[in-house]
Amino acid sequence: MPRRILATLLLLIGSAAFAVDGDVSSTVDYGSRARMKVVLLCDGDHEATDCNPLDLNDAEYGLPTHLSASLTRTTGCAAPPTAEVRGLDDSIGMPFLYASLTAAGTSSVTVNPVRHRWIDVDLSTQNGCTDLEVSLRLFYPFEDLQE
Amino acid sequence: MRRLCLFLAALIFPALAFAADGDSIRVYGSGAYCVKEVLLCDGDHVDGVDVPGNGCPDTSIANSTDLRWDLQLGTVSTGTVATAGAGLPLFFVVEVRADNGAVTKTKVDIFGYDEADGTGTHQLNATVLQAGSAVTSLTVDPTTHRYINVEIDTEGDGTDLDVVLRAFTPKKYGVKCPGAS
Repeated sequence: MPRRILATLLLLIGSAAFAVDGDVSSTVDYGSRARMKVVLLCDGDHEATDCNPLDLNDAEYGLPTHLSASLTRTTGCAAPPTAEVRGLDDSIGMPFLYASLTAAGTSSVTVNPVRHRWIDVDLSTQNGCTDLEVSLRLFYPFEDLQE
Repeated sequence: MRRLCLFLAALIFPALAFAADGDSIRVYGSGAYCVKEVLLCDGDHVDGVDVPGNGCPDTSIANSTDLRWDLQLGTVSTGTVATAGAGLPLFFVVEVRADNGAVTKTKVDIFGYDEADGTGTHQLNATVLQAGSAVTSLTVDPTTHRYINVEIDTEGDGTDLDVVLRAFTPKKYGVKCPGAS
């Protein structure tokens, strides 16, 4: 009986629940013009203020033409968190602030064209968050991805 | 002992620390773009001489405004006739990435030129670029000029000012970016 319950739980709970920073959550083709890849820059309870920087050059599809970052989930947070989305010229380089995202204010920023190789997120007032998500959408010309 | 210290220092400090104006510091690329990074300014750039007179890249010339970065060739322009080069990028970014040791940060302006000799001067930034300020970066999309230069608007008191230019060119699928490791 316990095995059956465990098996049922595994089926019910989606794989997204086990995602962590940097996971690819989806890849979507939109017609013939562009392909979009979604990466979770931040995902989880996030007592830590930093989400690991993503090296776009080493990402699966490489440097995108442009990108957008969105604060998509702030579950359980004691106070509204702020997510600073930044571009860096190195993995620990000088950060360039694209935007400060909040759920109630500006929650998404677009960077077009891409300007930095590394992207990271710096969080504040994230205490108590049980699931905080910042998603990054990377856009590629579809023809460049054909085999 | 001294040799040992020098050897250890050479190991510890990255090559970037020894870069100079006009040095290419990195070439990489994947996905949509090939990227070439070059230091338009690297060094103290504090000589008590305000604009005009402290342009980057100036290579070994202390106060020179007669050299510009040639986006077509991917080299410092010397005013000679153009030869085949990497080609103009789609767009480029100029960014103050460090102003080490500065209490008063240096302010810089970005210029585009019509000719290699500096004829036709056009300021590309609306607001000065300054480390630690709201404006540290300028994106020029699409590329508007072939010859680019950084001019010190107001000198600070730092010991190492780094201004980097990143040139983005389209990458062909399955083809390695020229010069990329």
